[in-house]
Amino acid sequence: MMNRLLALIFSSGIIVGLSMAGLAIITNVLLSEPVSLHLALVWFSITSGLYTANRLIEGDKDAAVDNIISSTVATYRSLLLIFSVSMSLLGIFLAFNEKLELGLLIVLTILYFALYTTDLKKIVFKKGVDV
Amino acid sequence: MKDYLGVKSLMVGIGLSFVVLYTGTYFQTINLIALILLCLRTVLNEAMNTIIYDMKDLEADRINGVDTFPLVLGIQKTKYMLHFINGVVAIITLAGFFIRAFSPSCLGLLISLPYFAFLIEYLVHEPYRKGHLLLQYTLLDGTYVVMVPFVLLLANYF
Repeated sequence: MMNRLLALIFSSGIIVGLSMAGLAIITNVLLSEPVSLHLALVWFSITSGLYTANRLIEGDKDAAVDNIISSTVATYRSLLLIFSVSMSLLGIFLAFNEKLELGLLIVLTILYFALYTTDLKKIVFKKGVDV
Repeated sequence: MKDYLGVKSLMVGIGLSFVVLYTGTYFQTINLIALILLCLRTVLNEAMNTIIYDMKDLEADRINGVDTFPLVLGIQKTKYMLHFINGVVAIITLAGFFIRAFSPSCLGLLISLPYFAFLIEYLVHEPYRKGHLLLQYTLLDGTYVVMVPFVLLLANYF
């Protein structure tokens, strides 16, 4: 039960979200600027949201080797989907709420990772077959 | 595209370095050298992270037919490469300190040197490679969670 809970926490990207919030704080400090928790919160939300989405999309690949994480993703798929969408939207809202340029940067980040996750070769190949 | 050797690691690294760019933009920083060094450091650090993941997930990548450094170069050569990248990351941090681009608290980031050296060796060690999965993923995904206290501690000290 405990392992299942930990696997859910891991699959939801909370740990990687905290890590990226940490990177934002480190950048803050190294640039000799006052620590902004707003930045940390934006990156926590966006990274958690995108990481969970990536886990859900690549679930089939992960399942190639059966382990507690791939089985947790399969079991809690809808919960993770809601979490992913909510966190991504929260991140976008917080960024746009602060500044238009920051919102656009966040959208750019999401597009970048969408491009990373999508298998372009497969899509092009599929279209070729349809024609 | 990410199925090509090294592209996946580089893409993840570049994507996560957006955190640094975003923070620089937020503060409208004029310290561009610090920003560039930090971005470079982040790209290498995150690329290293994904390669360590690949060392753990050899079976899944073999089944999915993905070319990764551990599959192409072998575990031992990949470990040497990772130790080299780890050294370069430390050198970038020190360079930022000595040219005064970073504040002295950047020395807290040097904790990544022993931390990653441990991960590189620990995560491929056979008895551990398949066990302690959650601990391993937490250590790999939470790298900056470990570094933040050291940086903040030094920021308060200096």
